[in-house]
Amino acid sequence: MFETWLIIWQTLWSTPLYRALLILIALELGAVGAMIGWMIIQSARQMRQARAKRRFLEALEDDFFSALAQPHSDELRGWMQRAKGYDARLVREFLADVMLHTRGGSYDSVVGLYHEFGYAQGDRQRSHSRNARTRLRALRRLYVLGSAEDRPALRAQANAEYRAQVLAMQTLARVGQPEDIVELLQVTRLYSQMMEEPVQAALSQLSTQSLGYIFARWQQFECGRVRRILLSAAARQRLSGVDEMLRPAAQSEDIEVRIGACEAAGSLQGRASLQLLLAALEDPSWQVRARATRALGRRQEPAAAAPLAQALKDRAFWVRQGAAGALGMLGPAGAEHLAHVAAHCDDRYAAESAAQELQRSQRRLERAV
Amino acid sequence: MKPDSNMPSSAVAPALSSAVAPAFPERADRAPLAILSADGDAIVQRILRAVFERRGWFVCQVSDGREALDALQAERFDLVVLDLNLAYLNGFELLDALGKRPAAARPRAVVASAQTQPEPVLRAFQLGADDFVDKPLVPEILLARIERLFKRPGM
Repeated sequence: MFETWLIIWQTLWSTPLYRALLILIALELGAVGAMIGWMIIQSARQMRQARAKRRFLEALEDDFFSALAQPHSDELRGWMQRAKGYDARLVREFLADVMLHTRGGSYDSVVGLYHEFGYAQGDRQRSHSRNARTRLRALRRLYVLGSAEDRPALRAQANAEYRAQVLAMQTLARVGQPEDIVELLQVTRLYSQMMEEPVQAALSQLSTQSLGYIFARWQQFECGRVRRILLSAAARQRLSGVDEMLRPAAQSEDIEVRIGACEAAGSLQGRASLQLLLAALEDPSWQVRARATRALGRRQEPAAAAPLAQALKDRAFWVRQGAAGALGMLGPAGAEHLAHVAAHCDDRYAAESAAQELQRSQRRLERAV
Repeated sequence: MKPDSNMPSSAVAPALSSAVAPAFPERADRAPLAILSADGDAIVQRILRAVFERRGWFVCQVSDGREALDALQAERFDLVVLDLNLAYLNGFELLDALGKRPAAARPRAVVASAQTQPEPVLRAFQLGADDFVDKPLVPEILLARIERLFKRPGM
């Protein structure tokens, strides 16, 4: 039997084509074997981690929540001492998961103990890791449990990718100083509306004083979207200096900054900002014109009724929609313009926009009744 | 007698009928509060339970609006602490259902939610919420609001 197999093997091996095929099959088997081995090792590792986590939770979870309900006792310190006997990674993840949901005296105690027991130091080190996943997880924990001690590690994220930057920015909004935020905003680049949300969330956490400090350095930020967000936030907070900033912003070459000027003017009162919005209805960019119509609607300026009626004839759909919506918000004066345009305007698009808005107003009125 | 706090949330409502009913008589001034906590987040539930039980209050916990309604029909509670973002029956619908109950059988309602924009807060109050606390929860503030609600500062 063995001899038969040997003859077959020698025949195959002596033929170049069969030899190549045999090598190929051996390589494939090796690759599949390696993958299966890797999966077995990974599964074993995950099972070991799950077991360790279960043991940790069984031993310490209940006691932690019990200690959490006593903010000013030594229970939390005792718990941290007991937790030292377990894998530091489990303790860090557990604390970050739980403390994300609460604030107050217990939270402050846990943050202090987290630093005292060296967990934060580990996070600071990992926040410089080359592995993006490790870095982001460490920053997430610092977002929940960070303190002013972690400022240098968070500021260092200015050189990192977008996600690390915004996590650091949101943490610094809580534990840092306004100059830290300025440092990060100077290098932040936003390319979409989705990327703006975390920055807006960070700015919304700031006090008026801190926002004022950042806004005073408005010209230092290169990204137009950052400048727009900041201008709008400053106008909503009625920060001093916004009025003076509106004119240069409205004349900026950056479309985002011009949109920001419209948003800001929509939150303000007064003639200068109204004139700026009316002028923006003639802007070459439809995005700016559309934002100007919405801002005028928010201000509910009767003086804007005629220019808004004119904007119903705009070539851009969103400008016509914005103008119709703004006229709808103006009350009887706006409704009069809408009715006139709907009935008499030769421009089909303008008449349709006006008619649709009149129908919407009617439905709103019926619902209110 | 106290509801079993380790009981799965879905099992809480039916179990209450037999286990908890005698513990919630007509409210006396110093009697512990009976609280229904409705929140889909297990960690928030653990925090609330720890905080309330430390005060000696009775806590029944459910994880969605339907279970909350079942628990409310089965038992009498002094207070409902609810999230707005509940499965099956959201917080607004639950508040609406609470509002339709006779005044004597209606528990107080405190909304604990991360939806802090004016519209949901206003709507919650319009539907009968007695108070609103932001998430992340600050237990001290939540307790102070509950104490004010029941006007029992020494509790």
